[in-house]
Amino acid sequence: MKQRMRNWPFHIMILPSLLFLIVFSYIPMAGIVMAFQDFKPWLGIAGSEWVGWDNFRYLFERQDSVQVILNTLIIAVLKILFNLIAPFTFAIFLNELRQMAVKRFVQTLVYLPHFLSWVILGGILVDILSTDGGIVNRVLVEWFGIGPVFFLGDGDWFRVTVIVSDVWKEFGFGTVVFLAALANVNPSLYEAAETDGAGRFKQTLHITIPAMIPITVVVGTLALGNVLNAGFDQIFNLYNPLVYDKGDIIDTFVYRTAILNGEMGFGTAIGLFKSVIGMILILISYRLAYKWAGYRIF
Amino acid sequence: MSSGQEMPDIVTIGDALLAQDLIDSGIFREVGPLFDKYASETWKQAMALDENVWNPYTRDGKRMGIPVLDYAYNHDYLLWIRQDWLDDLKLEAPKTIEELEAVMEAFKTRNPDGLKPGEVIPLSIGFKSSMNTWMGDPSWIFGAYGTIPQQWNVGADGKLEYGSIHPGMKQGLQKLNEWYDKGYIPKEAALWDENKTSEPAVAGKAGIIPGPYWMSGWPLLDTAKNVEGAVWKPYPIPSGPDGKAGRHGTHFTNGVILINKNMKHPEAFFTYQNYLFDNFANPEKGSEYDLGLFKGYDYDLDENGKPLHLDNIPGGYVNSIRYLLVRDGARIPDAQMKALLNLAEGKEPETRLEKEVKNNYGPETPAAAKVLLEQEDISMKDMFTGPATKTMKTKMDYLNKIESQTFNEIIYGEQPPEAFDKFVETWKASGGEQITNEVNEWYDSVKK
Repeated sequence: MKQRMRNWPFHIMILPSLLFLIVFSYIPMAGIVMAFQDFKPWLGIAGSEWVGWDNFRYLFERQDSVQVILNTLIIAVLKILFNLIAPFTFAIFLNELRQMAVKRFVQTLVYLPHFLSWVILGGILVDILSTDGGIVNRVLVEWFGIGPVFFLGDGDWFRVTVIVSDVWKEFGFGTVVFLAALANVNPSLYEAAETDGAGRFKQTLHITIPAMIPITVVVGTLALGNVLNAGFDQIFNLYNPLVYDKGDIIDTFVYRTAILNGEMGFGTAIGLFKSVIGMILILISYRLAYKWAGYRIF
Repeated sequence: MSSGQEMPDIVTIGDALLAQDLIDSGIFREVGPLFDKYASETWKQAMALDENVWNPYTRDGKRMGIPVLDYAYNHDYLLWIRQDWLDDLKLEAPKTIEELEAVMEAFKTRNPDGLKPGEVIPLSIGFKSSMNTWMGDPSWIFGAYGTIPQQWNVGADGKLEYGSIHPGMKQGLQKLNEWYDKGYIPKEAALWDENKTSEPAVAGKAGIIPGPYWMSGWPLLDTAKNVEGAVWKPYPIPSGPDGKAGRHGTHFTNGVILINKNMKHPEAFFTYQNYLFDNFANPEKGSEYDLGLFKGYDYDLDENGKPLHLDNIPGGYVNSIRYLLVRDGARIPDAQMKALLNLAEGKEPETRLEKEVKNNYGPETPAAAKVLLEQEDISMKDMFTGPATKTMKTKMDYLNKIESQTFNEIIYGEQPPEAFDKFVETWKASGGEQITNEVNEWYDSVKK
């Protein structure tokens, strides 16, 4: 009791963010009922017709449903995977750099693409990946004698392009998180290892990497919540009729059917479906992380 | 609206989907009888230019919204061709698809600007958004074989049929595939949207680009800055082997005016709008609106009484027409075209509209308007303008998707032209047949 009295200023300080959460996150959750309605704006939530699971059924009844969900999963899972591996490895390399100025410079440089919008980047990619004089294909043809490769017009290459360009854009941002974790490693550990005769490689293997595991688990677990988000703005700006079968994802499909046609009930249903799947995966990985890595995130 | 707030007396809306929702909401009244009773002759005549303008807003024979009229042919297109290239090669503008091929071949292999064959894009078109769009539009190629894709055309039996499943499509696709192989169209046409197709045109690397009559002002005006001596001239759409030609048409309406059920004196709105149609829409020379709507806002006069426009107006230009109850004030569909034709015949701009088109549009616009109107009979409007039907809502996106994919794959040679026949079968079986029935039900309900 006494302790609680002493802490009350801190509790007050939480209050604004708590209010914010209630107003902007919890109250709007009531809108989820729209997922089970044929929502019409002028009838409102109270007056719209109740259609039960119809909106969900529609997602699975289309001839291309399986394909679209599969595309989403393939692209999203590969993105999650490589967006863990790339910054993880890069952080280790960067950590080995002893010249602080170079390290900072590189860090900023790889961090920058994160701030580019896909609308702009999409236009740039179309140009540099063009089969008609794009720089990438020129290098491939003139230096290696391969191709030209139709990166954005061939289904399989489209997926590769989407994943690689996303990793290129985001790995710098991820690196920052890992570098922060590495900054917290006690330098005396390295000193002790050196005394014991461990080289740089052994130090990395036995100190740096174990130090990064917990943060990797956190980042990985949180990323799993995005397993049905394959990246709307990226795909929307890059896809075209030639790659519909390999590149159409849930979000682009929702955009066309729900947003363009004003089917808000259907849009809500998909959103709910994605959130539920995401939540289940986060819960599972949370348990697994605790069981195997002995790490509690929350 | 969802929170049950009161709606204004008069709502003007351009978004077709929202307009249909608002009509269905039952907040607005039937307007047909009001229009018949209170609208002025000028307005009624303007409305009568196309009897189909009421169709989107008709429910069970009742006219629920007044169509907002727009200038005709704004989205109809023609071919813009580099006249300096034609002259250099001593070629005539193409009248048929065959002649067009000869011109494209010449642009590519004997380029007057010395461009290598690989650098020239003889015909700049794109398929990313649709096969039926506004700039860099390929739909006229199918028009040469008797159909316009992605819209509902009137068939031989008087019923509506979907343009994309017409047998003529197959021939058009084969032609495009041939052109793709020969390098007449951009290699990455499937990745190009409308604006992208204008890039090589403006850069001076394209020889032909399909587009609306106003393209002379934007974006083509900039070509001469990049390539000295570049001249774009408008030409008619070439015809196919059977002499057929086609382009997609423009609806004369771009929105709707709704009147609230609770409005006590709806006739007041007609007084307002009648005034605009009678005095502002297309006044004779010497009217008080000759120079613009409001002095000091969209035009001004200097001390000698000379008119000032745009940036020369003290305090800057304000498009005061936008503040009228109906977005564009009052437009008579054929008035702008008539004004342009007058200019094309060499008449000095006198009336308000003639001055406006002279001041605001590119140098070739009057000539383009003339070309457009000479081919008036090939213009095919999308005849289905009603609210999306039940099956459309659930099936149309999938049908559009397989359509775009099949068409693009045929053009790129990834599938043989026979894939078109299979597409038509799938289209019909996957809901297309049902949609066609629903569309015709609607069409019967609005047809007089």
